[in-house]
Amino acid sequence: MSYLFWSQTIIWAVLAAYLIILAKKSKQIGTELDIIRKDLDKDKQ
Amino acid sequence: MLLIIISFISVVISLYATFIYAPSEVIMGEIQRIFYFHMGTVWVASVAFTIVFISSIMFLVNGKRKWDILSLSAAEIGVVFITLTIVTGSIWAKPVWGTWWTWDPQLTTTFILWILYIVYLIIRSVAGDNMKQAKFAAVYSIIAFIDLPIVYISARLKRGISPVVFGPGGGGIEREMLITMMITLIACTLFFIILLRERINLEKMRDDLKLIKSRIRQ
Repeated sequence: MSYLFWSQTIIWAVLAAYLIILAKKSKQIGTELDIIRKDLDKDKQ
Repeated sequence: MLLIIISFISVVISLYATFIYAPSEVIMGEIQRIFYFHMGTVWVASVAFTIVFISSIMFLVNGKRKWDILSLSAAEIGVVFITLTIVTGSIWAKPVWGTWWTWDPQLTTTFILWILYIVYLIIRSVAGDNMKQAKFAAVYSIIAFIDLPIVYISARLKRGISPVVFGPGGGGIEREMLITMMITLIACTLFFIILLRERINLEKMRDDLKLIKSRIRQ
């Protein structure tokens, strides 16, 4: 039964990794957006 | 954040219920315990593809990008979960059927479903900002959805070796098993909601970035 438990735990971990990847991509784009917006604000000033 | 915490707790409870609370199945033994998670992935994939179907119709009706984003996001998560359905099904099949895979009607239609939505993701990714091609992808996903009820019906109409547990002709399950399955369905559904929200957010941010970059170029 231990292999069943570990296989299911690993699958949940894979799903968690997928969520982390999505969150990291969003964070990267968010940072890029912030930099561009700040640059645009500087240009306006 | 609260949803993530609740989801994490439900996953832990689901693992506890699957491996400690639920009784061992008399004929199949311990391997049957994978059934709970298998059903959870089937459920989420079905919900995801139904969302793709509805949002694709909405996108064709009013052409609003939000429906296109919802369709794309749900399809991607649906493909992840249907892949897990096939993987967990194979883990179950090996000791029970003596093979990882067989071309049983339900397995074959599930495999076709998997391919259909992978093709949808490819078509949608190639389409990019092209509205005409995005609408073509939406029409394709509506047609692809036809396979989902066929997967369900196939095991009942054309009996292969896939077991029928619920509905007409199904064997049913014990109370503890049903409770465990419901807990796992809740855990999978909560995780799906978190993933879908994050995936939609990512796509919206990509749109914002594209827009802001195109404005700078002008």
